[in-house]
Amino acid sequence: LFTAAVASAEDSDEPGFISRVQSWQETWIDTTDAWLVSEPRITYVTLQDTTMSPLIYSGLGSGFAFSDEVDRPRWFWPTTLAAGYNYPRVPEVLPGDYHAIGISAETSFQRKLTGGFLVGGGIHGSLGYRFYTKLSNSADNLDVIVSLAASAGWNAAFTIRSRAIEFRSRLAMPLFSYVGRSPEYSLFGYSSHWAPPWSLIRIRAEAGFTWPLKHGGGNTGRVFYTWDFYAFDEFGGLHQLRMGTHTLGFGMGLKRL
Amino acid sequence: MNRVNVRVIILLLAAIAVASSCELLFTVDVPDTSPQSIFDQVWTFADREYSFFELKGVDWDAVYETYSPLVSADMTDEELFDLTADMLFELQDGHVNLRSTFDFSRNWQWFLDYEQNFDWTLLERDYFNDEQQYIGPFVTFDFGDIVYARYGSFSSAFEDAHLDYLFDHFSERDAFILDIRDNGGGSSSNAYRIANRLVGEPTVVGAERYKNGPAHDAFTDLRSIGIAPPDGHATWLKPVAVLTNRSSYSATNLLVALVTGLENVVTVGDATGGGGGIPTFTELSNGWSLRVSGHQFFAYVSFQTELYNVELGIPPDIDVDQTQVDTDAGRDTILETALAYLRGL
Repeated sequence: LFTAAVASAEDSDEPGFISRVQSWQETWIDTTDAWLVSEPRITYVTLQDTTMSPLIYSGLGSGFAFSDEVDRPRWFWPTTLAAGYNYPRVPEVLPGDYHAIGISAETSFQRKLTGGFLVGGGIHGSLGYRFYTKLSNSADNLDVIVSLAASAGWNAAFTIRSRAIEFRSRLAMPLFSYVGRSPEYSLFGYSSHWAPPWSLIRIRAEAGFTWPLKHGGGNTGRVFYTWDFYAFDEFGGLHQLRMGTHTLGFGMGLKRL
Repeated sequence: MNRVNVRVIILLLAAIAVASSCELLFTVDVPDTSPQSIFDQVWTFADREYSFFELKGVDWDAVYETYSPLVSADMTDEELFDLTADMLFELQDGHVNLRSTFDFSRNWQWFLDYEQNFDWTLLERDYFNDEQQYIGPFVTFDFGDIVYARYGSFSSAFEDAHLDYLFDHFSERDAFILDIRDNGGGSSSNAYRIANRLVGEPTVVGAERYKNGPAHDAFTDLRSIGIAPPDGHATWLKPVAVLTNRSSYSATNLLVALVTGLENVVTVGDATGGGGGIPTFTELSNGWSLRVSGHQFFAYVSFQTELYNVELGIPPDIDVDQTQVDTDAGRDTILETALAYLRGL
């Protein structure tokens, strides 16, 4: 009986499980483009955290981002980790060093529609930390924001002097967020807020170009501009936070699939 | 690529550029720098964040009515600063200060109105005779049966090893005197680190609460405060005398609050200066900075059953002032009182 069963299986035309997985994997690789992207950034921040000062501070900084981008025929899935440091100033005030550090992580699933349009959503987390030496034991302040965000985008491919270039744009806004603020009233403790879109107003817009590098084996160059602005009031408007970050990134994508 | 796409790309880039350049429209209006605006910013910040209006019985609205009419549009920065400082002076609080490029407002009546009760030169010349030992920031002197240590500022950093050495090396002495007169404070964590060495087991010694809203009585719930001996480090459980004067302020006042209820600790000298509220800071639209107390600390003390707010200072267990006779004789009255008390135990 055993011999007969083996002979029957060997005679069958159906591929085995391993063969089917391998076949699916090969099809996936054939139809998928994926890049690991590293991107040095120049940033310019404008911020107003009335917990610390009513003044609007602004200044240049720098940052870096790592991304993983998976591009399939029907969807696009980028995941990005980024960090930046800014040194905002208001020239006329008393001496004091204001430092602003931002860290963010995002993964976003975007369905491709006809005409180059994309819609989707994902999770976006960010940490904004501010340190103002002039304020002694009130010098620290931070915001932690984790959002479920919706996004819409539009991509277009074109050529300049026979070089293929892709334009990408995306606008993302949170649907619902968790906001953590510390310290409360400049002193102590951690305040938590569940924020609908009208409570935490956040707009993230990005646009840029990617192009295949000459003799790059599928590697890409890219330049992107990103604007991330958020506004949040707590305790009935007693504390108001506004922060806008402009980022210009010059990246290179190493093709991994 | 068709022309429509080019137009769309240009349009999108322009839209993002315009939107991002409009972000200042979303910012909160920055108050102007007129004298009235600066005065109002100071009054409002104190109104929202200051933690001792009720304890001190200050009618802050009445204070505004008194001082606000004195503000004029043509007054100089110096005149505005002085007027605003006068208003803040009403709070009778050493933790309330306004800072500008040209001055620093203050209320130091908590020690200026009292005897100083401390003379470092007298100690150096008439007691130590250059026999003192410097263990980190602690200036120590061995009386043979009692070890004395002076800590001059809670801003002076020390290592655990310094306290370990102090309490190990002099472990055979019968008692320990900690002199924190003329110590205006510094880091509160240093107060906890010293207090932790004076108990043999975790001990609840007080409670604290923070301002958490604009109302004068808006505070967090009281949170118990305890001290506990650190693992693997030396402690001192024999008698301790803590020497205080009115210039024992802020973090120094906190240390006294932490240990004043302990059975092995006695405080000797004058009441501490107070400063029981951790200050909170802000910046004004003209760049001046302001701080006010935004916290309250309560201690378990021997002279009352309920928690005692330490903002106005902590009376000593043995109340004694430096006498002129002792000064003339080169004697520190408060130190001598502590030595006599400890030797009489």
